[in-house]
Formats: sequence, structure tokens, C-alpha cells
Amino acid sequence: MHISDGILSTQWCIVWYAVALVFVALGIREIKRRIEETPSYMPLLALMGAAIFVIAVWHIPVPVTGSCSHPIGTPMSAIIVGPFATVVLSAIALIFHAFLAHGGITTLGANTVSMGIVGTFTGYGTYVLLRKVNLSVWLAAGMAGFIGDILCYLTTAMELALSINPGFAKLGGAIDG
Amino acid sequence: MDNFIRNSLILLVVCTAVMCVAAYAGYVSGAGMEGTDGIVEEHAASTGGFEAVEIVPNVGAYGDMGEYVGFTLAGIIAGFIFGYFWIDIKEGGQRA
Repeated sequence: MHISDGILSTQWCIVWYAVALVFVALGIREIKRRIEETPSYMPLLALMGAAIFVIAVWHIPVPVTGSCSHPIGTPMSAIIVGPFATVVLSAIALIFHAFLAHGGITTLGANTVSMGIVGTFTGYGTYVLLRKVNLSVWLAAGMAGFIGDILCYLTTAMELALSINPGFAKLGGAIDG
Repeated sequence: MDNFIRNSLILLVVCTAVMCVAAYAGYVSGAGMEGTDGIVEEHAASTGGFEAVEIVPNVGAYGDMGEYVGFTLAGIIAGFIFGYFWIDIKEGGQRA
């Protein structure tokens, strides 16, 4: 779910950038550590980055609603390469998405929070939880993708609501000021 | 062919078939089939009085050629980066 430039108010763009940067920094540290341990982790990261990039711009037709929508791919990546590394991959993919009229630069933080952080961690958490109750890999991964996608969209809705709702906008102003 | 590859291929064929049928159904019914992102965003923008602006150049705006050039450049750059790290990845050693 991508939010374009100009849709969110400036204060909220800054807030989401700040949240995203913390997770990206943690992700970079995690990637460095794992590459030192296992150099073959790098091509796996590249593969997952490419997968996230493609999946999150791949519009699937939904005839029931008469529209198209796309999944996010970050829960899958989180299961394979880890959640913190996925946040970094997601941010990189979102930069390239901006060149395809999906998302933007000022909203990169907000999009990273919804797709890269919420989608990733809720999906990963669902997978870990369901595996602990001995659910099969394919069912746990499928549910992880579903939950991750839904919560990503809910987060995007929340980001839009926070920005356009006057009551929440005041809260945003308080944070900014 | 092991079970994983067989199941993956079956899933791939089923997904592709479902998407083709869904796209055809949308086309036949005359639905706009617009992207959900755009629909939600337009609604939010009109409610909040915002308007989407284009800061980053859209490669799609330059037609097919823009996408070809964009993806070719991205592929070349990615290839150089991957080639630079190839020895580290393949042999786990340090570059000279």
C-alpha cells in the first residue's frame, strides 16, 4: 500500500521517517552481523529484495470489487531473511517503487512503517506463533502473509486518518512543535 | 522433480489462471479495475484537502522506452554491485 507525495502533512511525514529510521538502522546492523557470519546471506537478501520489489507493485485484479490490489511480500521475506533485514529491503524497494509512480520520497517513512515494519513484524510474529502450535509451514506462512497484508493496509489507513483528521492533526502539530 | 517443486509449479499455474479469469471477468463486467491504492488515496486526499504531487520522475511517464531504459540501468548497476561482491559471496574471502 503506497501513499504518494503530497498526501500526508509535513509533521506526519517527519514522524514516520523518524520511526522508520530507527528500524532501518537496526536492520543495517543485523545485515552486517549476518554477512560477516555467512557471506552467502547477501545473495539471499538480494533475492528477497527483488521479490519484495516485484510483489508490491504486482496489481492483481479483484473482480468482486472491480479494482486491482497488490500483496506486500514482506512477511515472506521476514520468514526467510529475518524481520530487521526485511525492513531495510523494504525501504530500498520503496525507493525504486517511487520511480514507478508507487509511493513517494516524502512518504517513504510512512510507507516503510506500514509495509516494512508493521507488515514484516506482524507477519513474522504470526508465523513464529503458529509454528509453535505445530501448524504446518505452508499454513503458518500463508496466515503470516494474510495477517501481514491486512495489518499493513490498516496501518496505511491509520496514517492517512492521522494526517487528514483535524483532531489527530492537532496531535501531530504537538509532536512537531 | 521433488514434491516442493511440483507443488510450487501447481500453485503458480493455479494463481496465474485465477488472475487471468479475474482480469477477464473485470473486463467483461466493464469495471474500471483501478488500483486500490489510488482509489483510497484519492478519497483521503479529497477529504483532507490534499493533492498528490510528483516529486520523483515516473519512468512510466516516458512510455515503454522509459521503463526499458530504467530497468536496464537498474540491472546494470545491480550487476556491477553484485560482481564487486562476488568473491566474498562465493568464496567467503576478502577482495584483494
